Amino acid sequence: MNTVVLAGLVFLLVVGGVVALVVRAVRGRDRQDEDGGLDLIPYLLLALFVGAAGFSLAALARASLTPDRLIGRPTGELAGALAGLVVAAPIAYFLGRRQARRRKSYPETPGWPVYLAIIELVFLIAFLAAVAQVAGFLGGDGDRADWTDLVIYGGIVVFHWWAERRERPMGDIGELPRLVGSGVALVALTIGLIGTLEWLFSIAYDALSGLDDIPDPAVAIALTVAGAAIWAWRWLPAWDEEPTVLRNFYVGFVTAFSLTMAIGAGVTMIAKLLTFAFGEGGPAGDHFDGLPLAMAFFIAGAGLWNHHSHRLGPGRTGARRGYEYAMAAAGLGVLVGSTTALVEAAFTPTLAGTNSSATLITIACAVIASGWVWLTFWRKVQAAPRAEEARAFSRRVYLIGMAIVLGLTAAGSLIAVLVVVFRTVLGEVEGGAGSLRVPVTLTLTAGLATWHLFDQIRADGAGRERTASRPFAVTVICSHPGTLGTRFPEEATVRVLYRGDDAGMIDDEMASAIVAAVDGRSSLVWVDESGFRLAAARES
Amino acid sequence: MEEDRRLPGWVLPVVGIVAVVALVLIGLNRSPDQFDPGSPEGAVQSYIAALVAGDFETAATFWAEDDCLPASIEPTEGAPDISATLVSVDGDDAEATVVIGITDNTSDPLNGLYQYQEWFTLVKGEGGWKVRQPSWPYYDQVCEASP
Repeated sequence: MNTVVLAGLVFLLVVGGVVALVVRAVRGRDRQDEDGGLDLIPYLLLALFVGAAGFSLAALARASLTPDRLIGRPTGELAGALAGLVVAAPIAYFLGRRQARRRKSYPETPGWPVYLAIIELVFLIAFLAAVAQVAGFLGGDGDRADWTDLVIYGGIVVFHWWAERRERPMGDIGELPRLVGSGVALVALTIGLIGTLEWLFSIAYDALSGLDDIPDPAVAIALTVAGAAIWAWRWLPAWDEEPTVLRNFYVGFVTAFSLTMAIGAGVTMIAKLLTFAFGEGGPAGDHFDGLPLAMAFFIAGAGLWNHHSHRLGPGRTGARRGYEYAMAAAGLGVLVGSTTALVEAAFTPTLAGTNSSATLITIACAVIASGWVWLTFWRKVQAAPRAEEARAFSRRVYLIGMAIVLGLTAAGSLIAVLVVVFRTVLGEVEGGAGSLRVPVTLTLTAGLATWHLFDQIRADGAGRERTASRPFAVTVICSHPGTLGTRFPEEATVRVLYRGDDAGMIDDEMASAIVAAVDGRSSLVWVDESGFRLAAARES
Repeated sequence: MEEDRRLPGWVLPVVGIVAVVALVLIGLNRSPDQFDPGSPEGAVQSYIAALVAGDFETAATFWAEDDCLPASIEPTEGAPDISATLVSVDGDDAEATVVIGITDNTSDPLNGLYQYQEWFTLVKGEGGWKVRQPSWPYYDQVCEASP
């Protein structure tokens, strides 16, 4: 009994201490921050306690309501869930009320969207996992169906959607919750769509030539339906503001990833066909049994790419740049890796006969496809006006990031080459040429790529200096210049002539496009309802 | 207008407390589901019920005799104090695997397993489904497990 009393006292002390610390911390910030500050720590604590309360409530509901109890009352589960709720729920409630009051005074603090994004990430994933579990059970392939998880996790997500609509997050990262929700739902939709399409193609393939294993569609269909519904709710409605850095990153990344997925699947199918054409495939039924999955990947990737590529925006938007540089990076990285693999496959000695042409054909397809991807997207970005392009953040990330990664790869490979060379020179290893194939190839390919990247970094720097040293004048005829004046470099002298009507408004997107088109040269710009036109002017 | 549509501050905690109390009451008043004793899950239910009740002789009647059996019918730590749920049943007419989720009511939650799963392999015999090589709760074994 004494132990119970002592445990109770310790429990109260711990909970009281945590509450006191939280209250003291947030009161201290009240006094310090006249503008509300970041307000991150209270919101992170709120997310922590809401998470603990949510998962405890789900455990409580599972213990009380889900079927198939074999023996005994669920006192252990109830005790654990109640303990979590008793600690987390009151703190979450009072912290939530306190933050709601602060939002009235400081509506633009980034803590609110960060909190909503964390909750959306955690509980949307939990909800979709519950969807998959229940669907698997209903499809006869799952262990159990904790349907209460659907209700609790779904309820928490919907409650926070409602809170978000009531008090819309503002500021630079106000879009974060919607983007996180769109991303999580898109992943579920993609997994579900691939599974569903694979199931359909497998049925068709089975009818044609027989298939050992047709996947169970229940989970895939459920994820498709749930993912599509949530994605449509979070992504498709019109956005209030112009694209932010976050949305540009999201659109660029998803577009690049989906195209990579489609190209990867396409290359796999082409390699399968070529391998079979060269007589290396064996029986057709067995050789092509991976086609249903490859076709599913291809269609899902192509569909996602088609949708998101139309949302990259016209002109050199941040999203388009991100997409093109991400594709160039993927192409260059795979080109270096697959070229090395091809050399290794081509020159590896065999015990009998020749090297497998199936392997060679597959890797050669990867080399050709990645080379084509890199060249295509590198030419696209090089065709853009250089003055603004050289300053673009995504270009710097691509050039510097890839230069570091590939440079380190080349340096590591060179070390491996030199180790073998020195050991041979010192007489410890004989006939070590075979072990040099991969490191030598990797040193050459990664080294060449690194040299190319550093060359571009140097060229961009020289271009920036040249552009920076030359003043130019731009005359813009429009209804309202928007942020255009702030987007030109310091060397520009911008003169605005007002049209006197509303047909020539300049939004952020058009401002970027105008700056890119002017490209550091003296110009006349005319804006009307059809967009903008540009004419060269005499240099000042 | 927006302000008028907001719920009073007490509504959410009251609804939450009522929901939690209701769930606790439902949970405390739940009795175990009754599975068909002729089914694998029903056999496991009867077996565990006998163990929890301390009726080890009855529990031992659920052991398949063609396998490695414990030295004593009494578990090393006596009758388990647990509650259990059925997780999954898999198998055919001759052999089945039953997975159950166990919550140990006596374990110290800060020092060891609290909730875990156990696998029971059952074979169909003359007297119904029998447990092969009982490994839960812990018994002192007299022989190594045979394949």
